[in-house]
Amino acid sequence: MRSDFLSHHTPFLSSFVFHHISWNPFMCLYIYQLNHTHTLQKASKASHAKHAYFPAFSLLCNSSPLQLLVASSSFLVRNKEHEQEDTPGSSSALVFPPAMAVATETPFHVLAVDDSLPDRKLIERLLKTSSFQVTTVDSGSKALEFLGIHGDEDSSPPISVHADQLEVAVNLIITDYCMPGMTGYDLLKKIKESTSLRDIPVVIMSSENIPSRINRCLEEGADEFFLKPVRLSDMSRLKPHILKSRCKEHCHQEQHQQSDSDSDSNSDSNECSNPTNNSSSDKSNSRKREGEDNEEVLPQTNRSRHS
Amino acid sequence: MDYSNLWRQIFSMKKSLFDQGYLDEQYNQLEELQDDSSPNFVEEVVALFFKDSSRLLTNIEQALEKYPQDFYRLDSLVHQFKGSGSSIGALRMKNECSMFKAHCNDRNLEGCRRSLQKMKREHATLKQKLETYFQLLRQVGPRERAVNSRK
Repeated sequence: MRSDFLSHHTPFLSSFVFHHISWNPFMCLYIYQLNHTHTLQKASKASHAKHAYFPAFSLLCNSSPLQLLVASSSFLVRNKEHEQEDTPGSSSALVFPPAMAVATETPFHVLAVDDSLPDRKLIERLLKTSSFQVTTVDSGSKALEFLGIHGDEDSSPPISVHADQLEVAVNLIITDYCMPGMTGYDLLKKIKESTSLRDIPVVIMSSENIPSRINRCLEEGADEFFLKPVRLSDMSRLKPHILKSRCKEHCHQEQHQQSDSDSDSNSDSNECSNPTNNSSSDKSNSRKREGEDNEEVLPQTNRSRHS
Repeated sequence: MDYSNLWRQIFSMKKSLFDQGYLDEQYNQLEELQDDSSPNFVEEVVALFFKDSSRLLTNIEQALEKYPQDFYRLDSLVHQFKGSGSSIGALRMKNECSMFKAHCNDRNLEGCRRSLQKMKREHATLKQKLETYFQLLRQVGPRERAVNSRK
């Protein structure tokens, strides 16, 4: 067991405990349940405890039937327990047996773009109330700067305009349609043209209900269209898009890893995992993972890479 | 301290703001977003609206008096005004902006001018009424407000 690695990366499990369990899926499930109770007690608001869908999807991508059975049962248990604590904005990544199950509490980061000051304040409040981390900018060009694009070229690696921060992950972009200079539609196009940003879901907001406008945006790749004024109930529509894009990215990542590490096969290796810092060599996906769930761990993957 | 009289005034004022069409459901949405972590949210966002819209009104007035009138720009300015007004639930303001837009579309300068005067009046009235309303709310204090504001 790589207990040193694990104790560094898993605040809720001691390596002592870990040493004394086998890779018994049911034992792992039990420990996971303990973990989660602990996590909930720690969380100051229910907003921080949230299950995520994508581990289930990733598990489906590459699992043995037994693993699937255990994973789905534990997932359902958790799902049922925590229905009430559903807040749109936070993620907790679950890593299912035979890997360790760890619940982490990392809010998703949304970049909100609107030229109107009161509207910016409103969207910020809506997002924060829904447990998202928020950055607001007042124009499309400032949004692109923040995302690391200057003019028409991608700067590589994408770096936020704030020099004292490292790469800032953005999980979703929500933008007003009608803005002077670069419209929301123009911004959408630029994002979709960028290899590093095109997988970030984009939501367009507009005070005008014009079907041709809506269609144009959706055709250009917008994931959702909100009619203004945006309401609290609209916030719950955001997370599914974030999770869908993460799952898609993760499955691509898995396929990439599979072909890379075929020779590193391990008897109980389960490649299907949550993203770790090791897998950010794929620059096109790094934007999303950097700065996020650093406590996520898949010992299996790391072992197969390092052994 | 007995707040019941104060609350009666507050509820009655809020009710009349809604009944007379100054505010719509969106205003309630703002109140939903106010909590301990953001105890003055409604007042803050309303203040931002009035600051922003005062500037827009001035720009609209200037644009109207400039010859030849740029109706495209006028429409854009009123569109902004209408948008932020609707974000705070300013119903009458929003409706008056729609009238202005219609006149803009028709390139009806006189219609625009009349509409602008109405917009300015609505703007001033709403501002004054909400200031009174917030003053009342301030008297009951944030804790009481959090408990009672959604009644």
